[in-house]
Amino acid sequence: MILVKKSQIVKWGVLLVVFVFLCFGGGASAMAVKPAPPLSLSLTKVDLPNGKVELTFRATANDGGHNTALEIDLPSSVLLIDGEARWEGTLSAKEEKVMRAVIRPIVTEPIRIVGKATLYFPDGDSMVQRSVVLLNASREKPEIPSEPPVLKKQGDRTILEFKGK
Amino acid sequence: MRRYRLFLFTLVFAVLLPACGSNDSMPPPPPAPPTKPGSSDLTVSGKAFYEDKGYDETGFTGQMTLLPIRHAVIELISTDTKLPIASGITGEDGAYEFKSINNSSRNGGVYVQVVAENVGTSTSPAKVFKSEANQSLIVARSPIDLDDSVSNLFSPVNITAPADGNGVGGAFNILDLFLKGGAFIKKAGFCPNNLLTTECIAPRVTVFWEPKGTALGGGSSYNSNPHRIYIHGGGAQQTDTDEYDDTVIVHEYGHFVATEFSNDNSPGGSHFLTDNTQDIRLSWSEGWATFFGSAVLGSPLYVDTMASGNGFSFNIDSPKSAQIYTTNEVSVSSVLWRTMNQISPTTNTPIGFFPIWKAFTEMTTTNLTIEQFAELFMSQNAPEKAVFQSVLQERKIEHFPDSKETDGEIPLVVGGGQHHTLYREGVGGPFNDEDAITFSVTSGITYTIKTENLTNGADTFLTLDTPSMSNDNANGASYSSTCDTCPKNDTTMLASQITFMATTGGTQTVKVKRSPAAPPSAGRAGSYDIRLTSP
Repeated sequence: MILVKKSQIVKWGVLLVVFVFLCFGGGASAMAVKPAPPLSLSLTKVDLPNGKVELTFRATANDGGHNTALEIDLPSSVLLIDGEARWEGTLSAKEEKVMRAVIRPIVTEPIRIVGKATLYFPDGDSMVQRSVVLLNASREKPEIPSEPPVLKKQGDRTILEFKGK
Repeated sequence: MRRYRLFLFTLVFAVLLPACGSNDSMPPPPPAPPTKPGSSDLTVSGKAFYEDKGYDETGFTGQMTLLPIRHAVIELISTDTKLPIASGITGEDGAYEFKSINNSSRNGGVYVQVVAENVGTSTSPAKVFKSEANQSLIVARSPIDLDDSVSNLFSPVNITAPADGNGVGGAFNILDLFLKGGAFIKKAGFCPNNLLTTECIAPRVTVFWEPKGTALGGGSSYNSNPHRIYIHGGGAQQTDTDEYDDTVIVHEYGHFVATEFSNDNSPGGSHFLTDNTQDIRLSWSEGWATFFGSAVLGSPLYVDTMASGNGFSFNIDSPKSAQIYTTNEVSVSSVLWRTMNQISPTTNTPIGFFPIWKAFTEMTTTNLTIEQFAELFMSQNAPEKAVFQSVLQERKIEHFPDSKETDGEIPLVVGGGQHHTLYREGVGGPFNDEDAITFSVTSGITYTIKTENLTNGADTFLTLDTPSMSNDNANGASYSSTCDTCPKNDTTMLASQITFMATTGGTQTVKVKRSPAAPPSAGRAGSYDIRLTSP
């Protein structure tokens, strides 16, 4: 049998608060996020009637002021029907440039379209970023994915169970 | 008497407590004896693997490699109770064995599960959970169950964590890279406060990886309090997952290493590779993290892939021309990487990681920047100082006295400019430099003297003797010592300017030093131009 004085309860209570503060809130905490490229890019597609496809290439400047060339690199297996496939200029920070191009694939095999952004620096140096979209993707050999994971209780713990091969 | 009452109360409480919440007073019935008991001498063995996706500077190559799941917790689970009946650790080759297990008290049926957890005795203990909100432990189970009620002899049970859309291979790739990072620092053979005697052992770190989960703001990240690494596993469009981006994963591990074995006071937040006006604390923290990843992986190439393919990459051995100064993270990474690979004039071999690690681990808690690192490195490696200086100057980092101090002062002329550094050698140096620049004036004429083209984190402060005038920031702004939104280290933000009319002719002196009210985002040294004009 352990008998505890009120003053001891107060003392241990204070120590507990200090412990919790040190463990969970006592130190400075900063979120170190992964490096970001100078542009955020996305190349997307929308299927249109008559076998046409609309491509949208978006570039948002994270770090502005660079002379930039944006290009939807169209292979010989597609025809450009309408829109623009190349733009050159300078984007200020947070500024977005959207390019649209309507194309028609002339083959049925999968086609890889690359949206390419090139940043030119003052002394002739450059940096390239890319975004990719796949046309006629259904013609590719479909991937058979694993079963989705299952959330389970296992004793005192919860697990997210994936099935191995 | 009071003690007696407390004893009585506790006794009554202890007797009544078990009855609370119970609907009947009978103990639960004992479990039914197994109808098909499992083996009393069960042995199961095999290997655990994960699929790793190959990549190059343009993104995923489509190549898949099978790698062992090393030093992870592996468990034998009863299909009857759904609970572990034995646990072990995978070896360096992913092998495991459960030997002489008695499963006869349960119905037969077992399977094997490998837990996304590096054990405490590994080079980097870690656990992978789904998310901070849903702390479910990630596991991969064997594809088949074994019926040990009819046999206790089974062929090896191998488990492969796949890399497809529903795959869990990425969780084990994260852990494997942590093992590599932990082994790398352990091999460095030196730890703070244990000079050359104790290996650095990484403490436990928690990882959150949510496949197809909520997009992480800004992507994968590290949080120091407590150690948590978030690896992007999904998002609405699954555009930028990172579980196979080795360089991203080891970059975040590099932040963890900095917090644990050195110090880090970066404000964090978003940062961009071509920004050479970064907070000098951030450029050091991020530059170190990228360098560490490259050192562990043995490659200067940083690649961040997108789920659709491609993404972006950069090479810290050959950075872009815009990636310069102490205030650009790639510039910092490049200095560290290129220094590591320079030939030492004393040994005729590459300088290597150890001298960098030694200086890194001895950095103090304040002014954690490449400036402090450079001072420590040069003082600890005097024969390599010239080599190190040449690497700094490749990135236009001027960590040396300007020519006016070494070759003598040259008067400034109207319409002309001079280039200076806020760096001095010798007593009181290197960070308390004060440049005294002379110029001639004519009585009654108005002059403007200003600093411009500030680089390498410079924050200037001008003082004129006659008339007695001074200026910190030409734009009139002032910044607190704990600025929440610190000014950029661009060419003008922290520049200074004085306009005055000369009351007497002759020679004047303007003094330039680092601002006593410099924000913490600025450097302690830095470079600037000074210009004198008169309308």
